[in-house]
Amino acid sequence: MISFTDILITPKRFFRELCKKESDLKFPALIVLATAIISAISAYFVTGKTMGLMPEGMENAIVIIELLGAAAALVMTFIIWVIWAAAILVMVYLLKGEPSFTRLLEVTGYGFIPQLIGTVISTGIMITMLPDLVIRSTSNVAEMEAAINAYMASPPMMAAMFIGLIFTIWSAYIWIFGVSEVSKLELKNAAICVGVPMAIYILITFGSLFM
Amino acid sequence: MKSGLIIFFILAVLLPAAVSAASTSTNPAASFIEVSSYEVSPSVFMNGDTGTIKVVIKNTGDSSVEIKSATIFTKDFKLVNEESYNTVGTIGPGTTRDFTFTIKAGSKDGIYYPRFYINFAGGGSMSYLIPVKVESTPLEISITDIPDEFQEGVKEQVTLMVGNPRESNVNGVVVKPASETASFMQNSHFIGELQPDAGSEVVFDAIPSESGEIIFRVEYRNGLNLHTTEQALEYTIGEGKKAAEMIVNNVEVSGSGSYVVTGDVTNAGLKNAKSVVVTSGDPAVPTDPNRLYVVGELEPDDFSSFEVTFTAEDGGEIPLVIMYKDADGNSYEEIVPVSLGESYSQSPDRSSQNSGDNGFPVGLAVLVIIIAAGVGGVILYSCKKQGRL
Repeated sequence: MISFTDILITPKRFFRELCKKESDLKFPALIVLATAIISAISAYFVTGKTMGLMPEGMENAIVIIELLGAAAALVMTFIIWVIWAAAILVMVYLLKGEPSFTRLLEVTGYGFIPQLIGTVISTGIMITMLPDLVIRSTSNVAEMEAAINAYMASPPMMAAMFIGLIFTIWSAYIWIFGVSEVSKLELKNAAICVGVPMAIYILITFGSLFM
Repeated sequence: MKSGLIIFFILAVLLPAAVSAASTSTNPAASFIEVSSYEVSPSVFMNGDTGTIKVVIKNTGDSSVEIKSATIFTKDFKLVNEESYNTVGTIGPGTTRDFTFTIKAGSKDGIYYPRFYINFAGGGSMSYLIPVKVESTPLEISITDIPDEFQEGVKEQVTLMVGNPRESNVNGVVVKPASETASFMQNSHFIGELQPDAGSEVVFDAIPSESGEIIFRVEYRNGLNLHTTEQALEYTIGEGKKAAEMIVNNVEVSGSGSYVVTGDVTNAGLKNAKSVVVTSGDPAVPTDPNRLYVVGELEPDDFSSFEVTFTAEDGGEIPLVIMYKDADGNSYEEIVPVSLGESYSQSPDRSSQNSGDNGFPVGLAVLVIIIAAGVGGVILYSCKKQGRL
């Protein structure tokens, strides 16, 4: 039986026990799926809000775009899961660990639990605060771009981003112990394996916002 | 006897012809009666007009002449006072006598010759043909200038030219506008007499309330006879393409609960905007110091900054009301919605009117800090639990 407390509080012990068993991606996939569904709901709201920019008479297109936004978030969560595992795999190779993509998928999947919590909190903030934002429709492309930039820099979006970062760091903390166990690396090297992709992630996420 | 009968028949045939000649008389004294003048009024009739023919005769002889009767013979006019001169009397030597006949025109346009006829008491008669013109051409109304477009409730000038294409002058010319969809600053315009081939310009100030038609009716008199002619002007209410147009930009919103909105208001129209006033509309409640911000007059392409203060609930949208007048005092109002929440028109550094001084909502900041502390605490606890600290 999977213990969430073990994963969040004592990840080292959890992953040590996990390594004694055969690889099983069922639970990790379920955790990522849950995160993906919450992300899809969040994306639906965010996309719906930005559709306020669209000129009147495009109601049908707006519904389609909102659904596309939700679907994209759903798929992207799984892609990001795979990217995390692949990035860490590359680092394990470089640090001469024992690479196993399936095991790393398993580790990063379990490590998505904090992100699941973070996504729930972020979605709650958006559902609560986004209705207060007023976005007037426009057909001017430049105005749309300016509006989207302002919208992305709005307090609810910024808060969601910070919260996402906090919980991703928590995930990284869990991944360190998982990578150490499954790749037979010292904790220090495991921290490098996770820390380098994490630093790149932070640079990409916040660099695009402030540049 | 036979020759006497022949002479009788010759006289019987020739006598009426002799009587009907322009000036024929068997009375020697009557041969000194002549038409000294005549006057037709109006000088040119219109069909249906009633007028007069005044004939003056003079006895140029040395003896009195007794006139039995006088009349006008015509089939083209109706003689109104047929029996006025059934009995006339004697006209002394060297004196004159005038006869006035009232006639009514009932013929087509043309020149007619009613015959003035005098029957002498002593035998014989005299007749005289008097030319009378009938021409029914009315006055001409030309709309010479109208605005490019009419606007609802806005005074616009319509210029007319009233011309007289007739041979004779007309009197008492009055122009009256009429419309069910417009009112006028003038209820009529008096021109008076119009000479032949002359014209007079008339300007009316029309204030339309909706699209419709204006009838310009010209009343005038030809002699005693009242005539009217009309000209219609159809118009549609436009959007005022030359009118002043208020554009608001550079809007900046600051505050929370009690707001200050600043910006620029520009006259993007082609006419001056007078008495421009900026304020906030419902649901905002204007407050001091700038409940109303008086900008004053804005010429085309001119702009001015403004600042209004009001209270409103955080978030949502309030209407910014720009009131102004045109040169005639017509009031206009334009409403520009202003967002009190986030919107594309606000720069990121001021995109949080509902925030604390640091630009980020305090509640959200506290929440993020609590979450960060909580996660940090869990990680620390995890480290301690796993013997890492």
